[in-house]
Amino acid sequence: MRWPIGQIEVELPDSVAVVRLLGEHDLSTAARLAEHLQVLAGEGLGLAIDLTETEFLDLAVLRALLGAETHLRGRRLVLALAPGAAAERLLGYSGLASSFTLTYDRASALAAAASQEQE
Amino acid sequence: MSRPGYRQLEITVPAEDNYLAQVRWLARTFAEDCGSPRDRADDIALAVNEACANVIIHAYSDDRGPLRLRAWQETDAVVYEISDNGTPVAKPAPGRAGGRGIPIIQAIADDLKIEGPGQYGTRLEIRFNL
Repeated sequence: MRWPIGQIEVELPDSVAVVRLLGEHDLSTAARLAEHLQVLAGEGLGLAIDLTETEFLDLAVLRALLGAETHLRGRRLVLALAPGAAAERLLGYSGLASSFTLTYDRASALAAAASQEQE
Repeated sequence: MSRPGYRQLEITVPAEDNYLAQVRWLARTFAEDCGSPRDRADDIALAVNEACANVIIHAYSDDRGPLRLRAWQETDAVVYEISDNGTPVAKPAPGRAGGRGIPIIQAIADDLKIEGPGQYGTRLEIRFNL
C-alpha cells in the first residue's frame, strides 16, 4: 500500500505567492516545503500559506514555516486556517500561534500578504 | 463490544520519516477503535507523531535503528508506548533541531512518562483518558 504524500501547490496572483498544503504534511515533507518557501521568499514575494485543506501537519512543518519568516525581511508569514482543524489545533498546542498572522479564509490571507508587501 | 485491556497494538518500523504516516494512521485508528471521538483521535495521532518524530530526529546518529510503537486499552484510557534503541550521545541530523515536541505531547496527553535516554534507549509512555 502506498501512503499518500502531502501535496504542495503554488499560485502566484500578482506580487503574492499562495502556497496550498493539501493532505498530510509531516517531517517527511517539511524539507521540500522549506525549499519551496525559501525560493519564493527570495523572490521578494509576499507569502500566504493556505492550510484550509491541510488534513494533518506536525511540528516539523511549523518549523519550516518559521524558517521561511527569516527570509521575509521582517514581515510575518500569513496563514489561512480552517477553524478547529489540524493546523489551528497544532498552533494552539505548540504556543506558536503568535508567530504568524492568522486569517480564516484565503481571501483574507491574500489581502494580508499583499498589504505587507506594500509596506 | 471489546473488553477493557483486550485491544493491543504492536509494530516495529525503521526510524525513518517515510513511516510516520503509517504509524500515525495506526495510532488514530486504534484510538477510534477504543472509543475516542474523531477529534480526540486526531490529537492523539499528533502526540504519537511527535514522539515518533523525536525518535527519528534524535535517537540514532548515523545508523538507522528501530522505532517501536505499542498501544493498549485500559478501563478508562488508551496508552501508547514509543521506544527506541538509541543512545544518549546520538545527535540530530543537520537541519533537524528539536524542541517543543514534548510540550505538545504534554498539552494533549493526560499523563506522560519518559525513561531515558539510557543504555537501552528511550521509552515514552503516553496516556490518554477515554
